[in-house]
Amino acid sequence: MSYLIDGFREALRLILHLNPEVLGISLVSIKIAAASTLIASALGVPLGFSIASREFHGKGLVITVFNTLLALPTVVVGLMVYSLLSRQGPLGSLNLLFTPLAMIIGQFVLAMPIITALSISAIQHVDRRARDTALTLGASERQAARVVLSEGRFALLAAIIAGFGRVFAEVGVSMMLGGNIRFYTRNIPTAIALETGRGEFALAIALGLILLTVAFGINILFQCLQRR
Amino acid sequence: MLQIEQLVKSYGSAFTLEVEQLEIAEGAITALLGPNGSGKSTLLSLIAGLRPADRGSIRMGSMALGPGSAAPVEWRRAVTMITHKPFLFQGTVEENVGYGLRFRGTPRAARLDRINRALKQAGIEMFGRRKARELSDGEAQMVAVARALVVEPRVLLLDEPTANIDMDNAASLELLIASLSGEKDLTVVFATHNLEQAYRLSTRVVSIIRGRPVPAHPENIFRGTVAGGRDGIKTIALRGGVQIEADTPLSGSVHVAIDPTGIVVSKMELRSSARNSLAGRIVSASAHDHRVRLAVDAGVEFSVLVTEQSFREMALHPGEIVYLTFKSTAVKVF
Repeated sequence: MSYLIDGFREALRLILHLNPEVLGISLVSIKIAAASTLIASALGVPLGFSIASREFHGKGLVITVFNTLLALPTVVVGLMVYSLLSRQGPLGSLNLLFTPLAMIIGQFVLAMPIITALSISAIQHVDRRARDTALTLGASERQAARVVLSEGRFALLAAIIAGFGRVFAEVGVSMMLGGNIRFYTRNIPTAIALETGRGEFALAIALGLILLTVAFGINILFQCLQRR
Repeated sequence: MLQIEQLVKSYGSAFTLEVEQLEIAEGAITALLGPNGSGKSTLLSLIAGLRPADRGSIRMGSMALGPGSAAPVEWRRAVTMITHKPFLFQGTVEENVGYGLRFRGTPRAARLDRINRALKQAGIEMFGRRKARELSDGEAQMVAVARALVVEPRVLLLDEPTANIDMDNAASLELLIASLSGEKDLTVVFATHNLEQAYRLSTRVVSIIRGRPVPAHPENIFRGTVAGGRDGIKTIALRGGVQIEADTPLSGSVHVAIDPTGIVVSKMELRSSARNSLAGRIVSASAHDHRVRLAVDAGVEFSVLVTEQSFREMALHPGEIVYLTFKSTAVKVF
């Protein structure tokens, strides 16, 4: 038991003293997760908006597909993107495997369905009268769309945060596509896996605490936004 | 101002709005009168440019709305609409009232000035800073009115504006609508199922039933079934066991309309050539412009107009039994 208590004590010391290893790993995590969430949001929110606000044949099927993709296993995404980026793969010549960009691509594939599906639901929950009211007040189509987005802004923000939460904590994609290279592609989840295997509990626990804090914080924020 | 021609809008097979020809005068207040589901709201939403018609056109000055296409923004900037349950955006009352001006790119200083004037006009200047979603239904309706007036529309459409609000707010909204009649640049069209309100506020009443404007006086409109008859004169059974005779080629389920000025009121049953004579009890009497409108329950409730003089001379009063006499040709069937 004492090694656990010692581990916790050491972990707190590492965090409080802003250990460069802990900071470096956290920074990689944040940068890559933020980049992939940003790209997924830039595409997923407009896509969700146009799916929700248009009537077309097969709309129900499209929404079902996005909802199903919420359950995409991270290792399967890792495998898919790996097979594209590996030397023998169709994009092998780009030499992207084991780079942050490869991780961003993988995390983007994970976050995109979440952000799209939750954006669809966010827009569908905006009162239908919002658009009509804007139009009767003389809004152009673009202005009316902006009004609808603004009315659904809390739910849309919740969608983005859910996407970030998913990619920030996942390990499969980061491990398979990033390769766990120190100060380059090693993020919190892959570092925890590695340090635990090596018996470096203090560092693993320190990173685990940071991951937990961020994950809980995101969840609380998500709940607050969903309730608004 | 607005010229509507051959306008058709269907919602599946369940409902079709069909307006052959309707002209709405500039600067006037026009009431669309009809029961719920008669097509008033559909017509307003077509005029507002919110939904495209299936066929036909609506013209306003040099602009025209054709079938199938969305209304251009210039059209929607000239026409604005208030519904019976207005949608208020998140934010304060002032922000809500300012939306239309922001869409038009009005500079901030001018915007604030116009917002304040509109709030004053709607009598809600004290609400400016309050959160719009925390207001009562009546207060929210007045915000919607201010929000519509602030953009200075050429056409203001109101869909059952007082249906969802308390009597005090309804009264002040009616006063406001009535006060708009002085503004010659503003054409007002409002939908209501309330006959009294239609007459109180408008200069013209257009009655709409089952998706069509009715070419008849909007009062004394009843549903009935043609029960028999020949040579054009048919017996029509209304609700409440009332039967009337009318000159019509139609059969089956019909609507009838009887002009209230075409009904003779007497204390004794008249022996005359008129085919219809019904006994009924006076339910209420109210004076308008030297005339008295009587509501008479003769199985169904008839509205009858008599002059103030006749009313006094005959010493009519609520509760009294009277006879209503009218010719078969005074009954419009459609």
